[in-house]
Amino acid sequence: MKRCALLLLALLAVSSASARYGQVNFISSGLVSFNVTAEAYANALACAGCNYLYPDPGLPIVLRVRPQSPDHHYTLETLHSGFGSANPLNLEARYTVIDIDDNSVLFTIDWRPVSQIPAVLFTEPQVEDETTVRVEVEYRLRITGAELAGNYLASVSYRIRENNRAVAHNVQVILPSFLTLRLVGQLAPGPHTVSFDYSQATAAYLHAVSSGIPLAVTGSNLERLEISTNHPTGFTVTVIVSETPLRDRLWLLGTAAHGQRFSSSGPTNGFVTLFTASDFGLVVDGGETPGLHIFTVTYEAVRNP
Amino acid sequence: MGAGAQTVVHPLRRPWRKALHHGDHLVTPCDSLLSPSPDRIIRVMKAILLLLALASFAQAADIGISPPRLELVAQPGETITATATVLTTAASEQQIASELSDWTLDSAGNLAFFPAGSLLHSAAPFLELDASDFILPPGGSREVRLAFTVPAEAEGTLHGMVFFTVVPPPTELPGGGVGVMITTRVGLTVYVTVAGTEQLGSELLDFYQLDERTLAAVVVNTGNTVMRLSGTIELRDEAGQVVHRLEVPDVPVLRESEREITFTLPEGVAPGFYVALALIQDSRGGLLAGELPIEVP
Repeated sequence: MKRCALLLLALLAVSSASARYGQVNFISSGLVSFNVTAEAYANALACAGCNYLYPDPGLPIVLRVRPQSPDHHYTLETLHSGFGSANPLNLEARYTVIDIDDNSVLFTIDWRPVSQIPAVLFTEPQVEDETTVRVEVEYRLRITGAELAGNYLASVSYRIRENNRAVAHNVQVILPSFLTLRLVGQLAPGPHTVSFDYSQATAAYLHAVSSGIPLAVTGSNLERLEISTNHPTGFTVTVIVSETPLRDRLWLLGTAAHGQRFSSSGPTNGFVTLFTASDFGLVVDGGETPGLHIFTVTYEAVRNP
Repeated sequence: MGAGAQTVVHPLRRPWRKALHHGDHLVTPCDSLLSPSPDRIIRVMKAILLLLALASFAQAADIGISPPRLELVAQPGETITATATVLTTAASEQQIASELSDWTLDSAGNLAFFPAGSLLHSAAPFLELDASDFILPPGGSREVRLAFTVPAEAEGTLHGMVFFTVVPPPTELPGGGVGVMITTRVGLTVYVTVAGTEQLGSELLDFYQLDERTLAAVVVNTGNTVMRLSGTIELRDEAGQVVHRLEVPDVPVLRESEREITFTLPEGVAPGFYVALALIQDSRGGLLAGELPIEVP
């Protein structure tokens, strides 16, 4: 009996101690879901300085944080559980801290990563006069191109550091599998071209004929070819040069361009460059007929099946 | 191009350096004439004064596909549908043309493409798209619907490919030439397995040491459906302890075909005697196991 009383007293003491500092609970909560379409992902990735995806409409995440003692200040911190793999998903959040009595915005905490390491959001002294506050939370995903296709789930917690009282909600991310081939060059009307214009450089042409060294590119509005896929099986790109008498003369990276293959056995983790315009060359033997020679080059990309 | 013309030596990228002899450089219009043989010069001068070769590429031919692979299951005689999204982030609209194709893999896993319907287990003859040509708006997408009607007599897995090609507008080229259309295209792989007709079966046909640092496993798919591989190759030392694990890649083995997969031993494998234990999983169920004593010099 005496032992039970002691235990009860101890529990009360602990409970009393934990009742100090602060309390956190949800005013509104639910699953935060990023059901990402391929189009939204591609546009976010292509958006310079704005590579973000935002969650689907749903219940807002709103916290109430209440101080418990003027002598024992709380510290509110946040962390997430991780998305369950090595997938580098970058979850960010923005917080608006509002006085719950008069609805005035006390301060905001601008977009910042929600990491698996607890991070302090604010402490009680930052809130005036022991005010109970409402914290409105917004989320976004920062896109780097390294995100892998799949379904991911993480739990985001808000807790009072001093007494470990916490609330949590889930964040779900669904990323589609995609494959994108991208030509990067000058944004001008018309096709990207790589030219070998030696009409005014006979000597150079003759030197190429005599030496067997490929002619270099003289002009191009194409800078490079890039590819991106987020699937573990990787990609294969095949270079197809149209059927012309000079088909086998067009070189790429030191060998005939036609039939060349570029492949990976894994995801690209963003866009990777396969080659640049200056990697082309043209082999001449002196038997070329005067005039304009045109190649059609097709880059054919598939995800490895 | 007078006597004072300078020779410009361009820095070479590594593949060029590999391809060309030491000391060579790419020829540019500024290069001086070195000493070709006289008959060569005469032949060349007769033949050509102007060479303008143009390799042309689609402008902003950014094209994407999501998902890039569809794996469908249907009953004999059934028509099933699925969708994929073709998209672009280009600032201008893009004309897209679609085309069906057959494909297969050789035993090393290299892709080979063939005309639609030319291979024995082609899905192409039974695939229909809701649009063969369409316009992608700037920064936009198009959901493409595929319908596949399973022939009553079909069995196992059929497969095919749908290519989506960017078609740029024609263009005038310098010198009065006419621009040739340039295509950049992405492929959508389609597998269709006919439910109730599956025959499973696989074997680890061979497991051997290809060279000092490479192992090879040959897996044969004796069934009529596509199988995918996973699993590990364990390297055990003489005490039986697992010292390294090599991951079996996620690759397909098409129906009634074989596939050789190679495994490069990591740099950290010390010289010595090992037993390599292959534990290769068939995605349809089953484990293929093999053991190989190896020596790493």
